[in-house]
Amino acid sequence: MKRITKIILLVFLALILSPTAHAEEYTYRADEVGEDAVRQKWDELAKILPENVADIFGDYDIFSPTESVRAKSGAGFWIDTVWDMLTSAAREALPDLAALLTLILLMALSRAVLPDETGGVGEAFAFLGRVAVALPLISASYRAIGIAGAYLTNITAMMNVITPVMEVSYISSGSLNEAAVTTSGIAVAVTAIGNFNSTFMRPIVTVLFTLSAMTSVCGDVKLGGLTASVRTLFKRLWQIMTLFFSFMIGTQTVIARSADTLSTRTARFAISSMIPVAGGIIAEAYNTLKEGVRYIRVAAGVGAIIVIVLILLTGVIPLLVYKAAFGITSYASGMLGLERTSKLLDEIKGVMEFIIAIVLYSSMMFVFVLVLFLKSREV
Amino acid sequence: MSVYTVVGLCLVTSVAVLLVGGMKRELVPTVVAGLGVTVFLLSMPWLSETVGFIRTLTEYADTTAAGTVIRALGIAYLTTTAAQLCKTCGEQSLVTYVETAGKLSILALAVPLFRELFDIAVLK
Repeated sequence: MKRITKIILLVFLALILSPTAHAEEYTYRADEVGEDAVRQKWDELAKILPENVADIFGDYDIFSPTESVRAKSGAGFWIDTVWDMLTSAAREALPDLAALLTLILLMALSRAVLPDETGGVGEAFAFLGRVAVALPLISASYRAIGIAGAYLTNITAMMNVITPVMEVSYISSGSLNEAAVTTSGIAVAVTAIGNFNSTFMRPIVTVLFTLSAMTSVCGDVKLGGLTASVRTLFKRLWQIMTLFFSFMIGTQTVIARSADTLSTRTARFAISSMIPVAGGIIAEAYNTLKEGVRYIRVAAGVGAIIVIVLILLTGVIPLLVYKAAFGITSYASGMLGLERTSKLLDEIKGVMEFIIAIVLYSSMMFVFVLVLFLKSREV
Repeated sequence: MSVYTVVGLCLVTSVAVLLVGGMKRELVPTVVAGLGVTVFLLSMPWLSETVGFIRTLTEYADTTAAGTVIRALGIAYLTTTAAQLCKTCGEQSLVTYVETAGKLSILALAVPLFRELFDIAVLK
């Protein structure tokens, strides 16, 4: 089993990282480097911010955070913003929740109406009921995946805009090696997230849903353990991807920095100190993230942190609301004695946790890219 | 129609069965089956009230699956009652036929749901 897991991991890693990032020799024109070019790219980034974030931070300039932006860091602002996001996500999830609760209520009611000695007819009815519950459940889950997909597309697009800005910044300051290394590293991360989002996420989730639905609808098939294993496998894989990205950027930057030092200048780029290369994945990734956020706060102000958190919340809050909806319905069906339905809902809730984890890991990569971008402004 | 009427009817029929059973034993299943049909018909308004409430819920929930489940519930209820009547009359083979018909009819109702599930999960 362990060997199979390793083979799957390797194949998946190879597929997700294709096509391979490659470097080409390119001569930059004068208008492609310099402050104006950086400003132009930053404006492009501002245009693709999620709608609700752009509404709040329409006039935000990361290079000179204003007082008005700092005022938005108060508790009132956060409560209002999170409340708005929660209500809008709840409005979207409510019809699904109502449909699920109605069907669960109907199933529970039928138990009371139908006598115990219904035999085969009762079983057939219970089977139909489980299929009926699975229908809005799977439909709602795909809607949640759509939200996660849109979020991943969004942050990939932002990373794609940040990369040339960063490259231009490095080139303007003469750090050609660092420009090549960081942009190729980010290209790998963007490719990985993009490939996962466009090619792998839906098939993986479909497999997980199918296994869960089969376990619930056909009671004799015990596939619950397999679903959990597949979920854990891909979650671990994504953790490794995050670490791999951090490691790649870290080590290559050290080499590139040495090369730049040897050539013309003293490098002030210190990203390697923030990159985990040993120790536990979670702890190191957390430390990296903490350091990254601290750096962003110093370099771009509290406003930048707020923008990042808001971007993250636009992806995470709707998913959390869906997860909560599935949790509520699972609890309700458990309370009404519908064990199998409750199990199915728990399984789907587990898949939602997996998607939330992917969104969080991708957001972490986004924060790393932003840190690298801000560092590039210092060089 | 109140529940007291149904209970009263059942008690009267029980006494009638005792009396008839003493004189003509073969009439007992017919009397009991007749009572079963009457009770089933008398309890219909309560069932339709419950179904009406569920239909209201369904309107809020915007799900087509609930309608199918209500129909299947009706079939299950009808089939079970019919099977019980057959059992009372001592026709065990008929019980199997009725139940099989009920099961097939419920499974036929499940087919469109399955198709929809397949469409969402695989083809969408």
